[in-house]
Amino acid sequence: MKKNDYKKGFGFLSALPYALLAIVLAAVAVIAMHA
Amino acid sequence: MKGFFERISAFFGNPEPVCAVEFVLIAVTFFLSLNFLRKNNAKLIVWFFILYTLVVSALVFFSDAPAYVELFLLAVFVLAIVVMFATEIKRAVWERSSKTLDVKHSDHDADGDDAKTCINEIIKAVQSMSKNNVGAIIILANSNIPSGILDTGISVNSQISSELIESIFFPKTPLHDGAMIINDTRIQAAGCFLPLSQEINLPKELGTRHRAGIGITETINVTSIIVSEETGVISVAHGGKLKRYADTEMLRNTLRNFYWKEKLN
Repeated sequence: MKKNDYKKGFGFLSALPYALLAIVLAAVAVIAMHA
Repeated sequence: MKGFFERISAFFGNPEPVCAVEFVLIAVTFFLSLNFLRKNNAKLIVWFFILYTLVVSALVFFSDAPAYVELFLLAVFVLAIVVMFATEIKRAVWERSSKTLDVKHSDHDADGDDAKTCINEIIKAVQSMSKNNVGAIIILANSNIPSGILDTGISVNSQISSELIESIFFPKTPLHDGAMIINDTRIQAAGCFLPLSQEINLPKELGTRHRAGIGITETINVTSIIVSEETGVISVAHGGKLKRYADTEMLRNTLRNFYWKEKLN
């Protein structure tokens, strides 16, 4: 096992805050368009 | 302010199916853009992205502009990211497409003895050229070099040997100025012209050969080994990054990664 191998399995965790941010921004955009 | 809350509650009171579709599409586009910016260390643009979306949303909300105005303004920003990061997007696409090529490649993958011989021959040639200040650029490709680049050189299709590599890069011979493409256990072509890196922060002492060696790795998932003609320093480039002063150990690791598909550190 290489030094940084442990990070591979949790790659999606580091993208999680960005997924939440994308959901919040998309919600703001849709509300602004249709409210 | 009263109108603001009334409009929001009216929206949630009568949600339209089209809003759900729009929401999913926008959220996926935003996530792909933000994740791409994160991977390319563009955190400042992430902040700008957040600010831009909030400002555009507020403007559209309070000015009662039609929905397509906001969609258009958001699309402009995503397009700006595509233009700004054209090279990085190209590299991501190549990396994805080369994964399927790797599977094909492993069908005729070098077995242990063949690969060990090739590794030893390449290291011997590179170190000899370094000692004699002979410039060289060797591309370790996984069958993913575009034919446009191969066509600029001469097809060699020969077994790898240190004598042949040194002969090709010997000064004043017709093929010495271009790049050698190694595919699996064979020298596929020599004298090939490569796209140059447009990176402005490269040290001034790096010449065209180094720029070419880095340039090809910016867009295609390959590794370059470069020997400087002036100093004899050996460098290794991968993913647009250059590692200078490569010793035998680094060369051996690079070649092992190439032949046995281990991931580069």
